[in-house]
Amino acid sequence: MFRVAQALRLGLVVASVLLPKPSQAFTGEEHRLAADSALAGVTRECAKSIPPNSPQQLSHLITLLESLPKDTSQTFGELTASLARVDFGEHRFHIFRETPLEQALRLKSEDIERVWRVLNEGRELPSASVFASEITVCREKGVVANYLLYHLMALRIASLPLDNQISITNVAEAALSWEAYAQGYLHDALSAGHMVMPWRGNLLAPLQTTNYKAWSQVVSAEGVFVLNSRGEVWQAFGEHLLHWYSPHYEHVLACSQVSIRELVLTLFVAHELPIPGALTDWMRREGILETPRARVARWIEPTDGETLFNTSTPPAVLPSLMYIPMPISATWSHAPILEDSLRKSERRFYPQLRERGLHDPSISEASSEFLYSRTGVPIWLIPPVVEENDVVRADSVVRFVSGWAAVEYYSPLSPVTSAIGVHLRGGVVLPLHHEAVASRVGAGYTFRYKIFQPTLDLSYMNQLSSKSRDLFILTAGHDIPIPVSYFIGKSDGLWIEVGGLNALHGEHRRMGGVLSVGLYWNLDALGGPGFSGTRLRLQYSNMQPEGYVVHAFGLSVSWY
Amino acid sequence: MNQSRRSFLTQVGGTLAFSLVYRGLSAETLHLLDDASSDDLFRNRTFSDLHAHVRLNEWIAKAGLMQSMPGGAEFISKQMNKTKVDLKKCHEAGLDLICVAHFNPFDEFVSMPSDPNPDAPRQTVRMLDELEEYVKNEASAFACVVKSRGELQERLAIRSPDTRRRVALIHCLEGAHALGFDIAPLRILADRGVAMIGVTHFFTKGLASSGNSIPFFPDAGAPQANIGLMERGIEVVKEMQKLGILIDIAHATAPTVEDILSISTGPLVASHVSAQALGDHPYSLTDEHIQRINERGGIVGVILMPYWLSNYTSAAKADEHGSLREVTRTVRYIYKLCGTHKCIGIGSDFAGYVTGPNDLRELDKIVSLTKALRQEFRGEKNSEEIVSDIMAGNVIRLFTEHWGNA
Repeated sequence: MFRVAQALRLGLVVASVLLPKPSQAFTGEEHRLAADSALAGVTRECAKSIPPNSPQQLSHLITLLESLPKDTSQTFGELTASLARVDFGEHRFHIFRETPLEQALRLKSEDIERVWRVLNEGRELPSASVFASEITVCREKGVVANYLLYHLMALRIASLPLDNQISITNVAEAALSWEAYAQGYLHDALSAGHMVMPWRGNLLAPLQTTNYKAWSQVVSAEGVFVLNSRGEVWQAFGEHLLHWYSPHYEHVLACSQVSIRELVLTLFVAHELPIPGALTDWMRREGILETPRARVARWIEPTDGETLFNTSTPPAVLPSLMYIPMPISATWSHAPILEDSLRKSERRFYPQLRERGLHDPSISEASSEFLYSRTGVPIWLIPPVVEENDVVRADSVVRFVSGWAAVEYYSPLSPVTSAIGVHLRGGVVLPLHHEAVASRVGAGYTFRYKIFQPTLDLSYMNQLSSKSRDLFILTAGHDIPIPVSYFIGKSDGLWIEVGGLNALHGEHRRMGGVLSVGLYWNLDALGGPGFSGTRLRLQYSNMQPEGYVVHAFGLSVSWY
Repeated sequence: MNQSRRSFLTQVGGTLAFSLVYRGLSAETLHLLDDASSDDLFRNRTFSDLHAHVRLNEWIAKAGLMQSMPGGAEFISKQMNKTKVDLKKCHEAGLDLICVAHFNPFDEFVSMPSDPNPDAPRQTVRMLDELEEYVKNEASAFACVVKSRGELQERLAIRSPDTRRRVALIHCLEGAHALGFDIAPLRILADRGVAMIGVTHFFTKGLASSGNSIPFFPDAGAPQANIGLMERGIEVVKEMQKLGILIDIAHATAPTVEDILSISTGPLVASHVSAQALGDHPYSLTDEHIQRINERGGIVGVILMPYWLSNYTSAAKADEHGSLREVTRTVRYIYKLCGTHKCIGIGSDFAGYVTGPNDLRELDKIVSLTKALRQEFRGEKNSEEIVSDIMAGNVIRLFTEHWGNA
């Protein structure tokens, strides 16, 4: 029993070393910095614009916000990072090929009310550290619905009435801790790696973790072009790269700040405190024409994702939804014609959509595969110059209408496979000058060490010739990814393998050597949720089992 | 006088003498100009390229580093320089004019990223010599180097089936860092027949800020101070104008273009660029700058490299998906933006280690672009004239009317 336990423990240790973890949206430090910076920016702008003759309570509260939440002895950013950096569940990913609107629509009012009822069961204020990680009603609904849920909880808690037991400080603390969790989801919603990755929750996932990670890494590092509901396009990146590309960081920060402003505004309005000028200015910039009180009432009343997006007229009821992006393959871009001397103008972007007439009729095949449906975007993202089913009009916008351009974007939206990790191999060996054809099957593991990717393979080969026995072959190999196109088409690289072999039976069972060189082709990833890839190898082998030499050609397929 | 200075002047002198003799020989073609109206120079042409690297592979192969690696130069030129310029085939394909971009990677990178290299002018003259010697010894049957507007007119007047027809090559420099932070070499280079100089290239080099133009080095990873034209850059631009050398703003960032527009007069050239509206890179030109180049009678040369013409997250993706479609869309966009085709040309940048469209990798196959443009402008009243001017006429007009205008 003890040995079994030891073996299991050893197995777990080996698995934890060999099976890589999925990529994070951002590193913990990136989460922390983004959240803390956003909060500091909002509290500072509020502090600078406190209306004259405001009660002392207001400035005290603003100062307090900067050091909240206290219940966990962590800063706002640390709390955000603590959950976001360790959680890779499906609720932290966009739902692949769905727009933020479509994902927001998944959040129903009954979801919100069910969570709210649970939170209100106790007499004390609901603490995020107690409840937040237990909320599972929206797990399968993606990152946008989950952000909305946590953010709405923060807004509702911020508006709770005060009594002898509950002070405004308690309310602010509790609300901010919920907002910290919401910020984690918001950051995930803005991370490239969490936008185009179909979540890996499928039965084959454990075998293809490396491919999943490979794609995630490519997406995070190469970036992905995205569009938000404000008509802004930029290139989003993933972990370690948040501060590397300033346009992306600025969008993440802006989005985080809007979310925090919504919370702070709710806190001030609900407790009848004067509204700092910075917040009223922000409402004007967002195009909110209602009074703060009227708008906050729409956030905290029973609602759902659809109401919060309000698809008929811009902006969304909840402005932070306007900042959440979606991967994009083609847009209509519009530059307003300005008459000022500098002729400077900001371009505004609209998504090209799947329906006829709503996309450039000459769009490339690669771009057309990733178009969203008209029902997936709010009405203000449909450009006024095109009309459904009017292809001629769309063509004429591309060719003749000044100020408009049809723009395409190519991001890593298809699976990228990697040879790193576990693989299975099988194939045939054709020995020269021998009568038999042997088959070879095995399994192996490819490591990554800096730029090197050595592979260890253990395989079994049946009788090579009448003189030989069945063989076990242990080899170490390495690929050289330089395309070679001299002999049989263009290969993806060269392959070299050395090792030893040993006969399974026989009196002598002497160790022999094996040397193989060849070409390999990476076949298309099989796609879908499996992330698997295949590699075809054609190789020459020089084998020396039991003291004699066999020259052989082999053809094998690896599945990884 | 030190050894290198003496060697430099000897080379300049020798080449000047060659140029004078060459001019004398070409005088025999003058009578052809008398018969032809100036319009004929622009009409029914095949292709004039605003920017191509005719001898870059060979220049790299001659470097000491490459010579110490057997097969290295061949491997690099075959595997990495995917677009090809073969002068013999270009001649057979009927190409009219190629602006030969001289770019010495060893000069530019040896003191990267910002410092000028004082040895650059000597190397620059060697590159001019190398091209001229090649043309004289190996390519005289299909190409010729022209060194003035008059020579260009003479050469272009000779048309097929006249066996004396040659592809006209014009010396151009890609990056004024080739002057070695000095304006004195400009006069020598103007005398040598350099018609156009790009103010900046990959790096600032004390002259002007440049947009990132290395595709495998994403824009985000190439932060350079974007301060526009620097003091020495202003001197270079002014001196170029005095000498009648055309100013090429390719590779310049928007502030640099803005500065050049404000201190210069006459037409500007963007020899191999893209439109920022379609391909959002610091390398691309904004709508405003495209319009102002058009207003100044200049030319925007559309680069035949899809990576810049659209939005790709990697050069490998552009290699896979990029096609002539992106070229024609950019041409169409500039036409739509400016309301005229007269400001549009093509600057292929071929053989300059760029990834061309996947349906056009050899300059002599440029007829496929002509066909694509005909398809794009089908139905327009003067579509043939539009395509002909974009492919060749506009560039020829630029050089025959503005080269050498002090």
